[in-house]
Order: sequence, then structure tokens, then C-alpha cells
Amino acid sequence: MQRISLLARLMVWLSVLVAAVLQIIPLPPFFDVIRPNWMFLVSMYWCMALPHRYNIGSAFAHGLLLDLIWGTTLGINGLVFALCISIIIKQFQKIRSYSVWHQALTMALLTMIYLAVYYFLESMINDVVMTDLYYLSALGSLLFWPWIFFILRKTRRHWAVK
Amino acid sequence: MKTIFSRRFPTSLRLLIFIIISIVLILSTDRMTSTRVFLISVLSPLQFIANAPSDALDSVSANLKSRRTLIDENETLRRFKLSVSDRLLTVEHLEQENKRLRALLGSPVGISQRKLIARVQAVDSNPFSLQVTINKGLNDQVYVGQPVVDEDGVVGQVIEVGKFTSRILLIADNSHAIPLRNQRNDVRLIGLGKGDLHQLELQYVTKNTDVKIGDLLVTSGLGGLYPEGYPVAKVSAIENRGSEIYSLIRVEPIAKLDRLRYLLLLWPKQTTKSLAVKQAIDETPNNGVKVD
Repeated sequence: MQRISLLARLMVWLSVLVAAVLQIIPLPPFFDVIRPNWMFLVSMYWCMALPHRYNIGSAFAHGLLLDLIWGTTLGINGLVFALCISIIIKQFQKIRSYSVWHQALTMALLTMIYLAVYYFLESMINDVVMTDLYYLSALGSLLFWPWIFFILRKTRRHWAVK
Repeated sequence: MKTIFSRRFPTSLRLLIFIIISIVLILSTDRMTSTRVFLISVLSPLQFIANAPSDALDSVSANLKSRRTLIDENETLRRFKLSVSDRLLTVEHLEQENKRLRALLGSPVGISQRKLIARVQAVDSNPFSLQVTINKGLNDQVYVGQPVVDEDGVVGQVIEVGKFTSRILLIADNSHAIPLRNQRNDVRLIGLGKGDLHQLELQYVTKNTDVKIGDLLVTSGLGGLYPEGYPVAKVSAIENRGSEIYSLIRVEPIAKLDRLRYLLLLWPKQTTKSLAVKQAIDETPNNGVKVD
């Protein structure tokens, strides 16, 4: 097993922090509706690219980070992230060979699942209302996945994150 | 590269472990407040970074304002100040009188309270709650449950405090309810958030209760959280449905919850002796008011 360099590890965490910033950056209401769940997509990317290093545990950690920046009950997003990763953890080899748009569709579907499970868990703990545009965030995932994919792949190759 | 066979735990076991950890975390939410405060304080730089672009744009637009606009703005503000200070003078007089009357009655004297101006940093993107983050925290003695108002009316209450930032739950959030009083006839009501920034609902109002469209609802001070007398909402629609005992009353918040910029944190229990509003604000330590 090769040792991963500290810098490479740092780059992964940096990408997650950038996703966290994008998650809370103020946007006009129209864009806010289709704002993709950056944390979820970035987490997915690393799990897909390096499943032996980033998997359920790291997705759980990313979910906890999202809980902290969103101010939701600590653990909810961690749980949903871990569940969503576990759904496709066996299929990473297959998904990696898909074309980018095919991947994007998969991610949009996965975001839908994420949103549904998140809604379910939140409604068990708090009293929540779902807005009509709740699932539009999946469309955002569809549109932004190619960019995330190319940027992160470039990062991964450049810094030789293995 | 790791081979498939060298995994220590199978996926299902791993998932089970993390599910158990998250359930424990969710259930112990109440016991972890101090940990959470610490973690939020550590993460607060993220908040500042996320806010940097809009801050930069703000300062650019403030610097690029034309002379004409500035003069106009100055003029309107001057006029506004004149009209307000005229009212303030009478208010001070009334306050004195009120104080004397209260002293005669032997009831506690209402003294003006400590206030602090805060700036809205971020509006939450979490789909299920209506919250905003402000740039004041434990360093300025902000506490959980603190009432927050803006220049028009009540905005919400603090629900989470970090060292440098804190989170405010808006009155329109559907987990929020606020005790109200109809200013016209002192009827007590409860305003329940519905997850819609422009609408609240009144709960359990029987059909024969005297509520009219246009009535101003103010805080009643009964919950012990919000100080008495701050305007909250105006009645906008009343529906009476056939056989039900209660009528459905919609009210519109007076504070513009979708365009919050500067907020006022109140300390109802920390009183300042001075009567003038201006002094009360000046006295608070490093209020950091930015004039755009």
C-alpha cells in the first residue's frame, strides 16, 4: 500500500471545505432553489474515485460537517450521507466507466434519494414542511456534476491523490 | 493500492456502526451544546469566507455611489432624522411621565434595555428551516433565546451561539410560535410560523373572537422571551370554514424577513439607566456599526 502524501490528503479536505463554503454562500432566491448539495457531490466524487480510502466513514464525516454549517441536528446528514454511499458502494467500478452525463444522471437520482431520506428523518425529529421546489436541488446536481467531476479529477491527477 | 480482500470490515458492518453513531449523536443533541459551540466557533471562518464576495460587492457599490445619490440620500436621512427626533423628544417626555405614574402605582418601572446592532451574514440554505446567521456571538454575550428585532418589528430569536457568530430562528419558521396581543383590544393570540416568509397563522382563535383585517399584533411579553410591545404582524386574511370552531387567520409579518440586513439584539433583563435610544446603543461595547 502506497502512503498518501500529506499534501494530497490536504487537497481532499480543501475540496470539501470549498464545497462547504459554496453550500452557504448567499445566492439570489432563484439560484438558491437549484443550488446543488455541493458537500454531497464532492463527497460522492471522492468515494467514487478512491473507494478504498474514502467510503462510508468519510461520507459520514462530511455529513456531520454539513450538519454544523446548516445548524441541523448533529448526525442527521451524517446518517443520510452514510446511507446514500452504502447504496452504491458496490457499483463504483461500474459508475466510474459511465460517460459524464450518465454519471450526472446517476448523481441526480442519488440526490433525490438523499433528499427523500433527509426529509423523512427531519420530519421524524422536527415538524417540517416541504416546499414545492424541494426536489429541484437534484436538477442542480445534474447540471453541476460535470464541472465538479472535471475539476476534482484534474485536482486528483495533479496532486496524485491515490 | 489495496486489494478487495484486505478490507477490515464488510460494508454492511461499517454502515451499521455509523448508523449507530449517528443515532447516538441525534439522541444526545441536548447534552452536546458545549461541544457544538466549540465546533461552530472553529468553523466560523467558513462563514466569513462565504460572505466575503457579497461584502466586497457591497463595499464596491458603496464606494461607487454617485455624488447626486449621496446628496439625495443625505437629504432624505436628514429629514427622516428630524421627524424622528421630534417624536423621540415627546417619547422621552412620555416615558418620564409613564415612569412617574408607574412609581405611583407601585409597579415595576420599565427602563430601557441593552441593545446591540448585528449584521446578517448568511441566510440559511437548509431547505427545512428559516434561519439567518449574524456576526455576533458569545464574545458579545449573545445568549440562546435572545429576542431579535429590526427597525420594523420582531424578527426572531437566537437558537445557537458560537464564539463569533450566532444563528437566529425567524418567526416564520414552522417550529416557531410567538405570543401576541392585538393592539386594538388586547386580545391574546399565538402566531405560528408556517415556513413561509410572508405569512404566519394565528392558532386557536374562535370564530367569535374580535379580530379584524388590518389589526396590528404586538408581542404580549407573556412567554417571558420577547419583551412586551414590539410590533410583529398585521392581520391579512380571515377565513371561516363551515363547521369548524376556529377560524383560520393569516397574518403578515411587519419585519421584512426576506431582506434582512441589520438586526438589533435585545437584552430585556440587562437594563441601562439612560432613556435615549441613541445612548443605549452607544453604550454597548464595540457595536461595530458599518455605515454603508
